[in-house]
Amino acid sequence: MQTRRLAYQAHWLSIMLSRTLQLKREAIAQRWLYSVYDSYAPETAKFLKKKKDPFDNPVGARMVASTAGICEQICADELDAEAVCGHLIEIIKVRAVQDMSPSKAMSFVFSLKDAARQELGQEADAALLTEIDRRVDQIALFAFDIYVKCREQMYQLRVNEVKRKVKTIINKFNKENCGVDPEDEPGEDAPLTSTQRGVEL
Amino acid sequence: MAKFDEMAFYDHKEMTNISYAPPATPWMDTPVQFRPGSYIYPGKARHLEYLGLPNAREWEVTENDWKLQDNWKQIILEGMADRLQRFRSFKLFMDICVRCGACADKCHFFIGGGDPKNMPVLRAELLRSIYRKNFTAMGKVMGKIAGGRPLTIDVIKEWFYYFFQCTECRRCSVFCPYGIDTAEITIMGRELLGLLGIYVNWIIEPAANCFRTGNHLGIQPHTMKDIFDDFATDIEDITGISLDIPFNKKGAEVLFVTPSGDIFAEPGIYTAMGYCLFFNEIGLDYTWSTYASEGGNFGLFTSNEVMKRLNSKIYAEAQRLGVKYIIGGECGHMWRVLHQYMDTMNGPADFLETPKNPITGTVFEHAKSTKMIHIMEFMADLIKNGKMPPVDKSRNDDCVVTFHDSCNPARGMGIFEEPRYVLRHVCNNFVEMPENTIREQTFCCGGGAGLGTDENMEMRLRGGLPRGAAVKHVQDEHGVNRLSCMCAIDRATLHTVCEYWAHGVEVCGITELVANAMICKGEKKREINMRFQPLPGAEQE
Ligand code: SF4
Ligand code: SF4
Repeated sequence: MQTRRLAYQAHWLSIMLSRTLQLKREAIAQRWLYSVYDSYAPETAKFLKKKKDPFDNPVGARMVASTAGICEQICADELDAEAVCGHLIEIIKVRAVQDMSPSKAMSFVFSLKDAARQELGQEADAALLTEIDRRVDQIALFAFDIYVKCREQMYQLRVNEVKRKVKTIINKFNKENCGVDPEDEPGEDAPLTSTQRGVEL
Repeated sequence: MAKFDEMAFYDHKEMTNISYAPPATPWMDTPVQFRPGSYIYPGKARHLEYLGLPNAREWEVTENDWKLQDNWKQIILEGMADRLQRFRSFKLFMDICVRCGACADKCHFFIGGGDPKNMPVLRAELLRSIYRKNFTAMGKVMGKIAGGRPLTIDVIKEWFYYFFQCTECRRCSVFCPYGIDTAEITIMGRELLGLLGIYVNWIIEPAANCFRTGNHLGIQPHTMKDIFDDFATDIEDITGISLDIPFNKKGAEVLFVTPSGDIFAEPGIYTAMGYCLFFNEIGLDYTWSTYASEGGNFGLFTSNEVMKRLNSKIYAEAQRLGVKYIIGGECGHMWRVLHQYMDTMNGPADFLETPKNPITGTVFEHAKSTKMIHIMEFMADLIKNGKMPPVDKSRNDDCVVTFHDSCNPARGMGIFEEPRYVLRHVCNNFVEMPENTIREQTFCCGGGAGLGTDENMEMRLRGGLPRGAAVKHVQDEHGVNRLSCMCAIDRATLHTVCEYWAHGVEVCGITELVANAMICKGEKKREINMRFQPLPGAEQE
């Protein structure tokens, strides 16, 4: 009996969640997007908001698409981890190489909580808010993983570049002095496969 | 101040701050914070000494004391006064900006990084504010109100940070109604810093090497010869053709100059091998040189004087060898130096002749003065006159190619059509990137003008975002897997940009694709391309 009641409540919660949220989804996404923009200097925020062409403003274009995509997930019956990560990567790849601390780079995830609260207003159901918080926390954990992967990739790229610069010499040296044909050796700068990198970046 | 790798660096107040918007401090009052990944290591004393540059010493960017001369302020102001007098454009650019903002959002570092001081207009203001305060009546009296500010150590540090976050690509200048070229302001800013011995090692070491051994990497003549012997072996393995690569050949018709990066690092070496095969095939009487073995000129990023010294080697060698004219390879900033400065700096090269294609008879009148033409002009002329060796385009069918206009040949020289004409001649699959990211509006690779080192990788990646986004677009839409370009720095830096922003797209030079497609007289059945990869179709057979 107890289990049935719980299951019923959970079901009801998810319906309520998606109904209320669906109505507000676009507004939340818009508010969140603007708060992401506002995490930059005012002049930059103005540019990000104003320029619409995806090549004149590639950062803005990514953010529009990804914040909307993540909000869709927040409002769905269940979080689709793969879809969320796909959108997160788009934003985090950029923020991971911008001139900001890790905490600042990640802060945008948490501002989604504020955006949702502001849009849902005072009367929002506590259970609903708890569920949103839970989802945002889950997204934050994904975000950490992705941020670290991006930074790791950046360092890996540094190493690859240095290796490429000396490759000709080392191959030549090996060939002449050690009789090793570089073609027989495993490629030391072979690009990482997506499994090695964990996430397809 | 806490260092980046110390926990205290991340101000805990900021971490718990609920508002994520940064405080809006006026730009003049926001000092720089040197974050690893965003600056380049300082020039080593021995390289400065080698070039006879002032204040050679070891110093650290993150240390408080940059070990400047006692009278550094005087040196800067006198240096500025001198340059305002010598370079009319500098004076003009300091005076005429109306701060309309048309250039503000055109810089790849601002677009990708979001730091307002990377807006070209603000980058120029870093220098202009000092000009106003010290060289204009209004600024002297009104100070900040008139946009002036006093010269302090923080200003010098700020210059260092931002003038080495400008790739001198000139994209901003395309949009300025007054034609203000922020790249030239950066050039002046770097020259002034140089008076205090503030250089970055990635520029000053190649410049010193170039002066000493003739090329950036310090490759000595015998090593260079060795490398080319290897090229010849590889070319023979690929095509079955054994060729002699001419070096320092007196009386050759043409001297060929190209960046040394291409004879050394992947993927440039495939293009360098391509040159050898191409010249051999058309039977051009040409020569490489171990003295003028560098097309690139890191003097452009150092000072007017160093640029002139390094550039003079090309004409000197042409004269020594007694060639008729010079052909230049797929280099970037070599063409900027050549097109804009070489003639007045080290010309006139009266001892040379106006370049004339010995196969088609075409006279390259536009190079009457410099006596130097681009290899793409030369190839395009052959194709136009039906004298290009026959090609089998299908050998490049594994590639869906797009073309990146490198800033210097594109905006610094204006060569847009020839490379495309050649590419279409040797590839079946060629796709353009979006209009606002190519030709005059091309986006920089983020690593030009001496920024292409690895310690500033973070900066380079954000600067490479706009280019990367356009590449990703054609990759997704058209299956592009090759980004071709005519610049050795691009071939090195775009490789990395693509790995991060458009994974799976490889970078190549144009001559590499030409060499793949070209059907050479007496060649064996071609099964592999210049990279030793199987030609399309060869795997199945
Ligand atoms: S020259 Fe290029 S890098 Fe420099 S400010 Fe202009 S757009 Fe930016
Ligand atoms: S576009 Fe030209 S005039 Fe306008 S702000 Fe930029 S540099 Fe100044």
